Amino acid sequence: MKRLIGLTLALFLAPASVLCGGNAVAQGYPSKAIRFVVPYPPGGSVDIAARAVAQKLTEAWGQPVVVDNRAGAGGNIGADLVAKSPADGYTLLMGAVATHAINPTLYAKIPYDPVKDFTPVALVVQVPNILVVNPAIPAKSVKELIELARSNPGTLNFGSGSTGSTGHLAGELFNTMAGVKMVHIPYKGAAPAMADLLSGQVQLMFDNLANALPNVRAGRLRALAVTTLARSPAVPELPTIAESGLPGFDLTTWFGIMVPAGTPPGIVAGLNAEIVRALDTKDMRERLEKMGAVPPANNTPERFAAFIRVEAAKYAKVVKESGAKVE
Amino acid sequence: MHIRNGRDFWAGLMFIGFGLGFMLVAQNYPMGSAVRMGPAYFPTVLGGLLAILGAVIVFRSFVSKLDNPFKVFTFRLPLLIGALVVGGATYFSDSLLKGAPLAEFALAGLALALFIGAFGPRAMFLILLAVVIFGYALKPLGLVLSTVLLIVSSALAGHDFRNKEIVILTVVLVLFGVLVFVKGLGLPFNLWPGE
Amino acid sequence: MGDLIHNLSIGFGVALSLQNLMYCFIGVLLGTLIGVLPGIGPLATIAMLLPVTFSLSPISALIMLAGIYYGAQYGGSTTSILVNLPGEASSVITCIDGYQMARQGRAGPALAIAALGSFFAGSVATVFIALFAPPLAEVALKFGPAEYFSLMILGLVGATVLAHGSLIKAIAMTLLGLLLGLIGTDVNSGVARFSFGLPELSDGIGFVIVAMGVFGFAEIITNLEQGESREVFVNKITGLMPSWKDLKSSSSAILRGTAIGSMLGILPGGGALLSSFAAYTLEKKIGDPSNFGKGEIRGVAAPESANNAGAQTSFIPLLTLGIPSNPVMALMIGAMMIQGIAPGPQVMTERPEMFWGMIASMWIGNLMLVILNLPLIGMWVKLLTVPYRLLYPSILLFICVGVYSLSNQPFDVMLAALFGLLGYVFVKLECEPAPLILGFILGPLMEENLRRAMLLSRGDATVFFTKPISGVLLGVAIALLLITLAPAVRNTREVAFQE
Repeated sequence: MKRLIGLTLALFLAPASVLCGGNAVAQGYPSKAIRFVVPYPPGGSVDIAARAVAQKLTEAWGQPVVVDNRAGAGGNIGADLVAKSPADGYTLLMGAVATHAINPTLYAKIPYDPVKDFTPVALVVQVPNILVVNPAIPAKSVKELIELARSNPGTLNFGSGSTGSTGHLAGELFNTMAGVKMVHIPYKGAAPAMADLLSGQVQLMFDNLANALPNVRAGRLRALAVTTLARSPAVPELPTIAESGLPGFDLTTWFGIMVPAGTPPGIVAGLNAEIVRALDTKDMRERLEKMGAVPPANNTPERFAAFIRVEAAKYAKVVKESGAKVE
Repeated sequence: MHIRNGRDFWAGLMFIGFGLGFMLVAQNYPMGSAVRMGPAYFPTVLGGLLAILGAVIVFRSFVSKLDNPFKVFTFRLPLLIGALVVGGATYFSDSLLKGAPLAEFALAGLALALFIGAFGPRAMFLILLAVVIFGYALKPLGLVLSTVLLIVSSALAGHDFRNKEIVILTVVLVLFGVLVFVKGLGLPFNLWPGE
Repeated sequence: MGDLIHNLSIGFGVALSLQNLMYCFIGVLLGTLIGVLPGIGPLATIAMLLPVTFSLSPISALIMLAGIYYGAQYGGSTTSILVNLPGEASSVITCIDGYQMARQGRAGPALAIAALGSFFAGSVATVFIALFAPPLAEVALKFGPAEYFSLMILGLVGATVLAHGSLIKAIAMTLLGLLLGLIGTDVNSGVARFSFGLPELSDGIGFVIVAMGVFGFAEIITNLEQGESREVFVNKITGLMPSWKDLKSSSSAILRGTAIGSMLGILPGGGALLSSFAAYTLEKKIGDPSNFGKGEIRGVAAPESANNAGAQTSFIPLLTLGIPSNPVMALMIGAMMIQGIAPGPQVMTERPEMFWGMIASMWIGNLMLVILNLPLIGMWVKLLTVPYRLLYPSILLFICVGVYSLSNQPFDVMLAALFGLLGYVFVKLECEPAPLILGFILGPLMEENLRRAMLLSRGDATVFFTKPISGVLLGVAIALLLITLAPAVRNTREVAFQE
């Protein structure tokens, strides 16, 4: 069935892509299906973004870009798989802040080198996390929350989608910078964490903006601030944690496409060009905006690589200060 | 002392083995306390319970009112020992074999084959081996050849196979596989070697 | 009431459009096919089809995806009954009596009752959702980690009741299942347990692998071992349709199963799974238990109704709160987000045509499934008359391809083979696989909830009894355990003799 629909789509769009001038830089690249490894389970925001991009690339090139979910070990399994794949441009990775900035410090040992084993291609999504509390908590701002935590030490719980996620680290950083002791409650995925936040089992969460916004708008949660340095255009009325009493607080969840190190620069450039074009289309921009994602400007492989280096250094510090560790 | 219920005896031993095994491996992880349970807590408790239950079952097998044969299924001890030896060698000489993945693979395969062969009817050995080979052959040999291997081997494990039937069955199943799995569902299998 | 009629008319108006009917049909057809083939489950299919849904309207996309999901439940039941292969975790229970019925030549009635019971359950559940969605969602929210843990304890105690053999061996199998389920990465600490350094094991063993091995391979091996007497799989087919007697005895089972499934399906995370186990247990306790495990039709009717009702009501947390009950729902959320719809409580009010359209379409989907599946019964039963020596290599191929397609890893196939070996040993040693499977699924969930409850209560273990819902559930579990053990203790000799 899928083949039928895919075939129809391809037949319909092939002439369109020729008109658009599909960007096959290297000789006849791509000439077969491309494997797009997503190191997270299907259905999460990473996966959705990846599938949207994959769809666009498929349309542009006429070759299927197939998403392969390889979840596990905080994303390490999928990342390792791509690190060890041939550098011919036919295996892509949706790398994340977790796999390339957090895990190298958080995990005692990881099977790949985040810098040496990969060539970054393009940043796809940058999403802030948002500090949300259950309405039963009498805190209407970050300041009040810190007050509450200080006067009742050890009573507040914050949930996160997994140990080592930005949601987890945001909480630990908050603890360190504000000098409070909120207890981390890990969950298997953001959804069960959200469920317990709604029912009041945990009091607050530093969740992905896209996930949390619907419940905030419905009044089931109260949003206090965003975790990025700058305010988010999706929720401009929300202050940042940095401007609410913890200057310098900066955490973003990001994902970007990478290939194994050693992939020919021509292919990398071609990939980058096509991905940037895909991200620039009207419907992609709309989707990403709805997710609260900031479209990256001047999206080149070099800038992405530099960005990753900065992020890795930043999170190394955050992880060390928080004391979080995974064996 | 006469073991009256052979089935229960071996079942109990199996449970003891599993229980103790899990407990042993769990020692590698931090235990934590009852308040903040570490990763080893739950498995240790459960493993212990399982081992105790296993012991009870073994005990009962001596005093059971039933009478079951001691020998429940074919068991070839030499093969099991061989499997453990080869398997252990592979595991512990991991560093030696790092440079020769093919050798490591072959040794692991041998250990696996010996292990499967240690139990049960020959038919099981044939079938399970065919299944494992299918899994590893699917990419290098392609769907068509792997299917042929699987069907032929598993048919041989049966009783009254007639050559003509096997050929027809193989052809039918290969066609089915190609049409339904690859063309119909779009599963990413290559049909022939080296695609 | 007038409101409800108004809403339903909106819903049916949307659902009965030609386009949506077509997508519903494609969905349930695909779902049935997926359910029949082992390994490739609704999750993988929906994931594969997600990009296709980008170009569809939101409601059409959701209708199709939902159709795949509950269509797979129907398909999974078919293989459970015919060849003892559970397509989904919730179909495991159907294998117990359904397969026995097939062996006795009663595959037709089994399949028919499964289809009819599922349809009834699906319809009732749809009404349930229509009437009670928001308050039911609130109930679901009352379940915290302590309540889930107690619910699962109750489920496990029920599993020991499932055993129609040695009670103590069933408990041991449950424990073993729990332990096997713990293989993988620990949520709280991030440590990879029992994985022996193998990355393939670091996320645990998939349910499909265990099920295919223990149920599928083991069954084939033991059949072959029996030798010449198994020339034909089934000796005599006694009619395709259930007799009046069948229908009468199943009707109350179906009612009970529907009730249990509708209740338990609401609970995110494990609710729908428990429903088929719970329904089977209840059936066995009520009425005459002697035929269970040997082809009792109530043992098919109840779990089938329960798991279909549970599948439908598991949409409630999704539609009302935007919380997925299981990975498939998570994908549906993804599909909604792609379409620009933020799933959550406001969907009901802001886009009523979507909410009610989905509900109406669910009922239509169930109707389509019954119409699709009932005539197919003849074909399925015909399939069983193929000589076994031709049948089993085909089944082997299906299992192998199915397992491999999970993540294209030969390792998975090998692991399934090992579980086949283990399954054979279990059969020979008369150890029941069903409690193992339940323990396997519930193990990691139980531990997660236990630890989380302890974390939240800061180490206070009495919380399991002091929280009202949790206390009640534990109380019932303890009572059930005592009821089950008491006769066993008194009649140790009889029990041992019965073995």
